This record gives sequence, C-alpha cells and structure tokens, in this order.
Amino acid sequence: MTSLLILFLGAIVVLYYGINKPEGKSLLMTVILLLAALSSLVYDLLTVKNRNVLGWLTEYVPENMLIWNFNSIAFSIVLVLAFLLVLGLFSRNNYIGADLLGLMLFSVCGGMLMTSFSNLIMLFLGIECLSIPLYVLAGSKKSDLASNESAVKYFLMGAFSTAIFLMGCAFLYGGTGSLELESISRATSMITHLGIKSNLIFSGIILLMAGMLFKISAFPFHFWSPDVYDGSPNRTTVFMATVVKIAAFAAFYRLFNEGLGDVKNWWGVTLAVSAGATILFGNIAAIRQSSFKRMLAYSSVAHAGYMLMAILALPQNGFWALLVYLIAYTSSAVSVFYLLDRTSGENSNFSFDNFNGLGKQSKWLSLILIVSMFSMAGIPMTAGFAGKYGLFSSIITSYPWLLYAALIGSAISIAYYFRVFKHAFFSEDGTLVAWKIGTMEWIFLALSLTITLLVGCWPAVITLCK
Amino acid sequence: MGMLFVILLSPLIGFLFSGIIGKYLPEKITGWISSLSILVSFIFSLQVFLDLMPNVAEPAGGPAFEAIGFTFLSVGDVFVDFAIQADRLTSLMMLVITGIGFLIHLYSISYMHGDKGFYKFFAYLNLFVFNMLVLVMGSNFLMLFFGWEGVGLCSYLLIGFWYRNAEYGKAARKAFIMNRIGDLGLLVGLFLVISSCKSLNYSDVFAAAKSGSLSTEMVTAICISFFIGAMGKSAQIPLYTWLPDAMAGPTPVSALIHAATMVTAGVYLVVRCNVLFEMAPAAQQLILWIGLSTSILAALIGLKQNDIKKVLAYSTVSQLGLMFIALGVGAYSAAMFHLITHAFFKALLFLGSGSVIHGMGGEQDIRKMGGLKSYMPVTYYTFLIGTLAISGMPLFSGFFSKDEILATVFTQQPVVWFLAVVSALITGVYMFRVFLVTFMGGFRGTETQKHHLHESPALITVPLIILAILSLVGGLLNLPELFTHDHAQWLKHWLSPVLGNAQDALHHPSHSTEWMLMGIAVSVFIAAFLYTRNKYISHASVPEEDAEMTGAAKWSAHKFYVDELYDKVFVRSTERLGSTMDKADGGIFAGLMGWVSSGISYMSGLFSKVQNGRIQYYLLYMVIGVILMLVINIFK
Repeated sequence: MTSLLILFLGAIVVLYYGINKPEGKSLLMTVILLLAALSSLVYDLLTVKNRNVLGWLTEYVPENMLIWNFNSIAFSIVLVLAFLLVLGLFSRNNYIGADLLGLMLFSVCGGMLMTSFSNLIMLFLGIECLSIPLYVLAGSKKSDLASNESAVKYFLMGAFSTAIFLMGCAFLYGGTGSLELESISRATSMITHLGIKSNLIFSGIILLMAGMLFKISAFPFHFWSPDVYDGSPNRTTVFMATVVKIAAFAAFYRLFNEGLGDVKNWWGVTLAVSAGATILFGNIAAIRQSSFKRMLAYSSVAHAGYMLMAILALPQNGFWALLVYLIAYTSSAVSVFYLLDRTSGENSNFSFDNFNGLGKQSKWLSLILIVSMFSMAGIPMTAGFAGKYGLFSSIITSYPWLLYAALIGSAISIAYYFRVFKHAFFSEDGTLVAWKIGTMEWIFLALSLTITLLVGCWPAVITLCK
Repeated sequence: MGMLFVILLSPLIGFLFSGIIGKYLPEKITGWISSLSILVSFIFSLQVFLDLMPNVAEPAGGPAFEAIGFTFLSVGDVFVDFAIQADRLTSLMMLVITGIGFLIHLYSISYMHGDKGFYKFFAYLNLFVFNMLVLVMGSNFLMLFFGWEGVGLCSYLLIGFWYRNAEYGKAARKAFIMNRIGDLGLLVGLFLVISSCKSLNYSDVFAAAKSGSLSTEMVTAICISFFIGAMGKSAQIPLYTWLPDAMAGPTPVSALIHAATMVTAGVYLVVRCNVLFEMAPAAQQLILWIGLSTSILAALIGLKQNDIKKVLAYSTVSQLGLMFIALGVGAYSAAMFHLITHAFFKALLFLGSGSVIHGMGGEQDIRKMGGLKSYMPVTYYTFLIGTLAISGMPLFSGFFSKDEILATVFTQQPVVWFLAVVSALITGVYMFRVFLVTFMGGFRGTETQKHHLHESPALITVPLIILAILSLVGGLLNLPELFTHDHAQWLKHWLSPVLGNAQDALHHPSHSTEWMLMGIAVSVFIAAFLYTRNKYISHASVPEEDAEMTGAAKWSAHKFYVDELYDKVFVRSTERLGSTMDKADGGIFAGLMGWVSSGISYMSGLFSKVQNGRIQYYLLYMVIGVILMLVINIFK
C-alpha cells in the first residue's frame, strides 16, 4: 500500500513540479520515486509472511478492496522494475517532459491496482487508470499521423472492451451477489459442487474473459495491437509491451486462476483455444513482416499466447512460470526495442534494413541483440527458455494439444527472430550511423542482459525469495 | 565430486579467456591456453575412467559418479537439478570428446594461423567442447537438451565462421534450422517424459520404464520423438542434407564437430535410453530402416563427389547410418564401438584432408590434385591408414567395429546384413577413389600450386600420427571372441552396467558363421580395392567432369537431387503462397514453413486480409468472438 501511495502522490508532484523545470530534474525525481516504491515493495515481500497468519496485509487497505499478498507484491515488483528499465533506456534524445512522466506514473498506479485488487471495482478502476493515460501516450508524437491514428484506434477499441468487461462484472454481480473476489470464488465453487450451471454467472465469466483477452491482446481480440504498437512512439510501444502486459497478466491470473480457479472446467477449454490460436496467429503473421517493429508487435501477441498457459495451470505452477516468463520477456523486449529505437534514428521507418551493419558498429550491442533474440526464441541458457519450459510443463497433462501448438509456434518463431541476424552480421551495405550511448543506458542494458542470462542459467533464482 | 566440475568448467574458462582477452594476446598464447584447458579436462576424464575400472577392492568397478550443482528449475512440483554424472558410458564419451578435442585444438593452432578471427575460433571451439560435455555428462534430460542446443549453436557459429562468404552463412543457417526441426522432436519427447514420469532424471525415468508403469504406446512415442531429435543431430534421412553443406566451416571444425563428436550425439542419446528403446520394437525397426537407407544413399552419393571434404562428409553420414543399424537391432555396445573407432579414423581423415587443402593452398577438388605422395609423406601414410581403417582392412580398427555390427545384424535380419555389406563395399570404393586420385599418379594442379606444395608443420602432423596409431589399434577395445578368450569384448563388458539386460539377449553367431562373415568382409574389402586400383591406377583415369556424366553416375553426383526435391516440395510451394515474403530469405525459412503444412500457409494468407487496419472490422471481429464464445459454451 505504501508503494502505491508513494507513486500516486509522487505522480501529482512530478506533474506540477515539472511545469517550469528542465526535463532532467523530473526524470531524476521519477526514478527516485520508483526506487522508493520498489524498496517499500521489497520490504513488504520480505515481511509478508510475518504480518499475519494468512499472509494478507490488511492494515491500510480499505476493507475488501485491495490485497497485498505474496503474489500481488511479486507482480508489483516486476511491474515497477519493468517501468524502471523502460525509463532508463528510453529517456534520452526523446522529448519526455513532466507531463508524459506523470501520465506514465498514473498508468503504473493503475497497473498496481490491477496486480493487487481483491474487488472487481478496484480491478475496473485499475484498468481505466492504466488505459486512459495510455490513450494519450499513444498519441504523444503529436505531429505524426500514425501516432494520432493509433491513439484513436486504441481509445475506441479500449472503450468497447471496457463495456464488455463491465457487462461481465454486472452479470457476475447478478449471479453471485458480490463483487469481491473471495465471495465470487466461494459462490462459484459452491455452485459447481451442487452441480448447477448458472448461465448468468457463466456469461459473466466469459465476458470478463473477453475483456481481459483484449487487454493482453489475445485472439480474437488482438487486432488492435499490431496497429497500435506500430503507430505509437517507441517509448509508448515498449511501455505497452512490458508494463501494461505485466499488469494485465497479473490481473488475469489473479482473477481467473485464483478467483475462478474452481470453475476452470467452465472456461478452461475456451481460454486454451484462444491461447493456441494466439500463439499460431502471432507467430505465423510475424514471419511475413518487413518492418521490425511490426514483427515485434506480432511476436508480442504470440508471447501473450504462451503466457495464457499460466492461467490454465495449477495455481502455484502457473504463478512461478508466469513470473519467470514476464521477467524473461520484459528484459529481452526492452533491449530489443531500444536497439530498434536507436537504429531507426529520427525517421519512422522500422524495416529490418536498419540493422544492416550493426555487427561492425559494436560488439556489445551485437551481443545484446543476440542474447535478447535467443531469449525471445526460447534458446536454452537464456531466460526465455526457462520461461517457456515452465509454462509448457505446467499444462502438459491438462492440455497436451496446446503444448504441441506452442511447440510448433516456437519453432516457427526461430525463422523471424533469426532473420535480423542476417541484416546485422551478414550484410555488407551497412548504413548504420553510430550513436552515443550514455552511462545510464549502458547500466540498464547491462542490467537487462544480466537478468536474461542469470535467469536463463539459473531460473531457480526467481524462486529463492519463496 | 569436484573432479567432474573441473572437467566441465575447464573448457568454459578457456572459452571466457580466449573470448575476452584472447584478442589482445599473440596467437600462440591464445591457442595454447585454450588447448591446455581441454588437456586438463582430458587428464581428469582419464582419472574418472581409471576410477571406474574394476580393481582388487571393487571387482565390479567403481560406482558411477554424480555431482549436483544447484537446483536449476523448480516449476511447481517438478525439480530439475543442474546435476552431472559420469558412469561408464559417459566416461567413454568424455575421453573421446576431450582427447580428440585436444588433438584438434593443437592442429588448429597451426591450421588457423594468421586468420583474423583466430581468438574467436578458439573461443567457439572451447565453448563447443563445454556444451558437448554438458550433453554427455548431464544426469537428466534437461541437461542433455541444454548441451544439445548448445552444440547446435556452436556448430552454427563455426560453420558460418568465415561469414563474409554469403554461401557459408546460408549453410550455417540451414544446419541450424534442420537441427531445430530435430530438436522439436527431442523437445516433444522431453515433455512426454515429464507428463508420464513427472521427472527428468535418467534414473527416475528408466526406473519407471523398468517397473512397467509406462504404456508401450507412450514409450514408443517418446522413443520416436527422441529419434527425430537424433535424426537432426546425427544427419539421418530426411534431415541429413545439412551435414555436407556444413563442410563450409574450417576443416578442424568438420573433424571435431561434424565427424567425431557432435554428430554422434544422436547415437549417444539412443544408447543412453536403451531401456526405453528396448521396450519399443516399433521405434527400433524405424531406426534400423532409416539407418540402413541413410547408409546406402549417402555412400552412393559419396561415389561421385569430387570435393575431398564432401566425400568425407557423405561418408560420415553413411557411417552414422551404420551405427543406427546397430542400434536398430539392439547392439548398443557395437554401436558405441563403431562410434569410437569412427571418431578416430574420421577425425584422422578430415585432418588429413585439411593438411592436403593446406598444402594445396585452399584447393579442395581432388581432380586438381594427384601424386601428393611424394610431397606430403606424413599426410600420405596417415591418410592411408585412415582409408584402410574405414574400408575395413583386416586388423585395423574399422574392420573389428564394422564386423561386430554386421555379425549381430546377420543373426537377426540377413536382408539388412546383405544391404549393409553392399554399403560397406561402396564405402571401400569411394574411399580408395579419393585416396588414389589424391595421392597417386601425377600432379594435375597448376605450376604455382606445385611450387607451393609442402608437408604441413609438426602441429598438424603430430595429431595425424597419434590419430593414425589409434585408428590402427582401436580394434583392441573390443576384440571378437574368435581371436582371444581372456580379453574379448572388453567394451561390451565395460558397458554392461549401463546396458543391463539389453546386451545379453543378443544372439551371437556360431564361430564358423563368424569366420564366414569375416571372410566375406575381407573379400568385399579386396574387391573394392582391386576395382578402384584398376580404374584409377592401371588406367590412370581421372573422375569425369559433371557434364560428361550419364545415368546413375549423374544422379549420384547430384546427390540424388534431394536438395532440389526439398526445394521444390517445401520451398517453392510455400513461396507461391507467400507473396510478400522476402524472396532472398525465403529459402530455408519457407522450407520450415512447409513442415507446418499448407493448411497454415492458407491461414497466413487469410491473416493479412483480416488485419486491414479498419477499426469497424476489428470491432466486428470482437463482437463475433464474444458471441461465439458465449453461444458455443452455453448451448454445448
């Protein structure tokens, strides 16, 4: 709770503090805020078991609105870390005024509500609080038509999905008489024990699922994401691909796996079909892209499909697998988006050709490109493999066919992830202009590289805090 | 056991050393230090081997060693440790990998002299040895998979080592992707194991299999998946075409990775899982026939190749096929025997060809060589020993290991035996052809080449001589019972704790039959020698140009058009569908797509139509999606 307060109040301060101040200062302030929130979260995580028997921290929390248990704190930590990485790598040379920083901070506050909700009202507030700043951020490159288009698109479709989600909440309330996660969980499991199938509750669950599937951009609600990812400024795209995805998956996991886990036989197959279709769609569509950014957008759709497996898994297996995968995906995605951002320079053409000659420019950047791509493709010794292994092995007994879809999908993905190597290392006509890399950027690049390799070589490190 | 970690980590340290500071040091130091890191592993492997030996205190031999590093993964209730082990099977593989690895490192110091990427080459080579050791030393399937992927990666890096040449880059990618297809099979097998045994440790899985808690269908599915993995790594039909292309890499790489060690990983996998394969006769039959067809097809292609390395590459594919024939009939120790002797003589032949290429200033076409006997005597004699060993000259190592396989096959499937003998005959013919055309007759190259011709330096010839000695005496490892009673079948006895009952069930032919089989093998060898001698020495003919060939010879020279077939079936059909796909890049990747079948290609055409950028449509899809989800679920 402290961390949420720090971020929320801090966001207001940053917004007004920065009106007449140079950009650097508000950035520094944001970073300090994030570090403060992070340390408070880590403190919470370490003490969560001692606070009370159930491990629930209820002291500051309005009754039955937010919950700070181990899972929600762990998700929040990953969320804040991801934001830190994004800020560290995407703050130089771009305009990042106090207004945008404030918006991003508000968005992260929404994300934290999503990771720690215990009432559907809070989840809804979180989603809105996360999304509304995003609509603005997507259009933050004001002079760029594509950016404007993506903002409008995102807004319209987001509004639509919110309506579906709210409808689901209403149905569920009608069926169970409560919006609390715990009461809903109890009511639904009682109904299954009695052997009744309530269509009201059931429709509510399906509508909620549709709303969440939209947020994580899964089939058939993913159509917005390639267009919006492609059109938004790079910083917003990477924010959406990492921070927003973490929040959405945490909420999805907590709502479905923890809250509605007892009625999995109602929604499991539907979600599994969606996951399989997402994986295949994302990977196959990514193969044909000539724009690196669009390829990443489709690949992000595919990654969402893999992560859906965690929601289908048994609670503890799913949680750890999801956590490892989120970390793996985030750490490699920020580096790759950073390289994409820098190789494209000032123009908004993101073709593979931008990478021509990267190999000659810099050894370390090549290493980062290789490791990140390997991690995304799931090659062993990188975090991506550990994540995929965890996810795949968690659903193998319950949904074997989904596993095969995922294996085929990840085999296809090698084709497009490795395509960039041809441009980076085998191409002769290097037009790439070297750019200056600040100390801050090196630190964060090294950090993400370390995470990718450390988690890859020793995935159990994540579970140490258990 | 700390010793095991020393063995494993020494090459890794060598890799870090050459990779990070090797660039700033003189070539000699980088080369020697990374060679020494392998030597350290070799010495400790030898120690492990001796510890496993039966002695007075422990007549049955020491126990298998195990060492657990740390808990690698703990997803849910499945824990996987970073654990390594050394039992009798592993210790043999370790000796082969580090022993031959060390010789090839020494060789490379001279061979790669003056190359811009000298330090990089040694870094990759050390990394390869590390990964290969992970593969064989791991005590669970995940470690094996790690090593498996790791060696694939190193092979990719080393094939494309001279990456300025676009063709080489393409060959590297082809190897990588073909291997990935195989790896997919291995991965499926891995997940089948998890789902049926809830563990990835060898001991747990094999115990579960022995206790009969796995159904035959499940075991067969696991075995076939594993074999698909082995097909990729060990270059069996239909995934063999990458290996000949992989010859684009520097020659020491071909010797180490694509002849002696990495390509035998598939054989190792099957031997390791012999408990499972014994329970799946269907999978064994598949292995037998795939191995047999690979062996014959590759030998036939080898007949008409004129690139010295290509001949050896096809020969490797063919010999691997022979090992799989042995595995198919359950003769695991015979397969291991052939694996070891093959590692000796094939590494020797590759290094010899490297010496020739070195001496010829980069020329690889045997038609432009000839008469090298007088210029490069050491290479000549060692290459001769290698040729005799692979063609089955009596008392050479290849003779014994091949004979062991053929004798076992004869008792089970005489037809297969006959075809395998044919394959052995062809092997003799193409090997003598290469040998005679290269070293005998008159020199056919240019004057400058002739002027340049010289024997290679000691760093090249010493490994050749050592390997030649090993190829000569390697047969002692597993002498047939015909020759000696006390020391017969040493290797088989050595491996008996790993192989368990699998070996005892095998019937051995009677002594008279075995003499007969041996006689046939010898006459096959003599026939091959006489035929080629008559053709290339007495008539002094030189292999014809491709254009002059007709009929079967043309088919052989064009590798039976398999590459073209793959191109037509998988690549073209998908290219037609994928209009926006990058044409230049399409080759292999489109080939990969082909595996996913045309149904998906059709879908991918649909996808681009669906993603049209219009928000009305997107909203429509969403509504349809929600309605479908509701309707299907409520009214089902």
